[in-house]
Amino acid sequence: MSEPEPLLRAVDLVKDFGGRGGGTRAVDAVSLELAAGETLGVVGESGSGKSTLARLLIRLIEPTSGQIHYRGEDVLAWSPGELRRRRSSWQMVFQNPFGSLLPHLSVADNVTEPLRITRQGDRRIRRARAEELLETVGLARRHADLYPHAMSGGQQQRVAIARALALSPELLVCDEPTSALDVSIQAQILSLLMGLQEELGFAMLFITHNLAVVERLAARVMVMERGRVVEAGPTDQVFGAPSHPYTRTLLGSVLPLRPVGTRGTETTNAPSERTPLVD
Amino acid sequence: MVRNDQPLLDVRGLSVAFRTRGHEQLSAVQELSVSIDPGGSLALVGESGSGKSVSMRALLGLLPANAVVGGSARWSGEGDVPGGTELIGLAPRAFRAIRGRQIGMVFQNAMQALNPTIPLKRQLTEHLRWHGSCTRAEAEVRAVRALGDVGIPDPERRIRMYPFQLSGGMRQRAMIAMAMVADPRLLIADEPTTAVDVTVQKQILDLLIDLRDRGTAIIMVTHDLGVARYLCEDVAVLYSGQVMESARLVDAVEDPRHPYTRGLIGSALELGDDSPLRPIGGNPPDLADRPAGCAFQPRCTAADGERCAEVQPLVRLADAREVRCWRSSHE
Repeated sequence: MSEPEPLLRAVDLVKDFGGRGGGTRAVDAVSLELAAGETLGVVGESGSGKSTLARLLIRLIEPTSGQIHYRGEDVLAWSPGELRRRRSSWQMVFQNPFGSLLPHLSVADNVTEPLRITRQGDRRIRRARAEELLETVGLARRHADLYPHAMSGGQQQRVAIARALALSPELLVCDEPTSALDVSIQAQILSLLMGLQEELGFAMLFITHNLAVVERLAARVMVMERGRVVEAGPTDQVFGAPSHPYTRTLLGSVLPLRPVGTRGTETTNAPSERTPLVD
Repeated sequence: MVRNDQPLLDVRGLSVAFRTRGHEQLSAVQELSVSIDPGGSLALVGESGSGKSVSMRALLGLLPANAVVGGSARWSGEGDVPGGTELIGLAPRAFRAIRGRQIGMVFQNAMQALNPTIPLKRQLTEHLRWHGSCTRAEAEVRAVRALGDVGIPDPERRIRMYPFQLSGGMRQRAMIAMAMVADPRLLIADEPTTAVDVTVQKQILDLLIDLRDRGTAIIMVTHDLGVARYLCEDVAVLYSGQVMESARLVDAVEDPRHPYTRGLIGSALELGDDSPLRPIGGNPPDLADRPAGCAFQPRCTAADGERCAEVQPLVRLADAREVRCWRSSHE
């Protein structure tokens, strides 16, 4: 591809973890590109290296070898101070929302923690920003003073997303953000993320084991197995005509609720554009 | 299948409440009625807190001491007991003859359910020996065969291993083998595939289908309608401790009658389906703070203030369905 410089480009990323009896190559020569505002899906099972890859890309951990370029700049050459300053435009949403929030901070303080760390605004301004962000993710002002434990899993994930948005990121890395949530809440969070991306224009790296989620969210997909990318390309092509046996195995493991051809008949419930958040 | 006049397990009006420190009782399951025939397959579908696991544990007498269990569960798997055995309130000693022997159980997290300090062999044979009628050598032969049956390669060697030496999928198979070794009439599987990868999930479900086809009745507790659809004929959809809809699974999926069932199906993402996502708004209610009347009403797009504020009975419809929504009998 000879397109303009992508937002994020990784070349031959390798990550070895040491251990007794030899190490493990968790990520093995992975290369990828992500354009601004684009969503790339990464699918694979446990041990495929997809979460390690995500952590490498935003330099939460250091690669064994390989290159990472952000807007054409060599991320791995940044000093710790530089990294801290510039990393604010990459944010992450994790699988377990409760584990990723600070339990001793109120929701408002959790959401604006990134602002505090980067020394932006005073308390009053941060409070106003917190309320604004909570509204963006479909929560109410009254949630601001609650503590995370008093909220449901879906609400906690909304708080985690609000926090990720606090610094107006250009890249949002989502690592199984809906896997720990109830079915009815998963769809809420996915449509929230899709709506926010449309509104705010951030790029997403979306990690999941759920192929239907990737199909819905990502125009391009990478399939990982044991640290390697076994297949990558436009999602409709990869899923429509998988060339690697592992991709076919994954697709064959999907359990359809409604076999193709019987869908779209239930129209009794009028779809609502914006889901009201009642609780 | 020869239709017995009596279901294998018939649960009527099961209720479970938990005594809390503040004297107030938290009601987790209300008026749950489900039944399963010999060789049948029933999915209990619901989100966390819907009471699906609690109700199954109540049947098996596995709830903590602060649980108050009411209602009836007749077990007819013993054959020679006319009218069946009442499981609710059954003495612990009598329960031991049924639990593990006539009714097998598989839980979600095999690592937690298996004892990490004991090799598989003892865990697989212990209950056989306990249930009597089996020498040590016979028990081992049966255990090895059970491991082989669930697709564990090299069972003679693996039976000497500890749970941590097996992969997640293997452990889950070992759990199923443990449940199956006593040849139960009914297997209760509580989210048996939630903690495993999708490719392993398919293998485990295929294994359960094998068991079902050989005549073991299965109650599958799951939050995943796709999993339920793959394995089960019948479904009961639970919400906030109540059955909202019970039906043949195919009917419930293709023509859901309760707004909650419709919402669940609208929320399910499917490959090759590009219809707009229709999430259910809001959150399930807190058990201590259930809305009056229909528990689903605050999240229901079809709610009608007055009618829905009344307590909704489970109404039996013409096609042997039951739905807890006044609209269903008016449509």
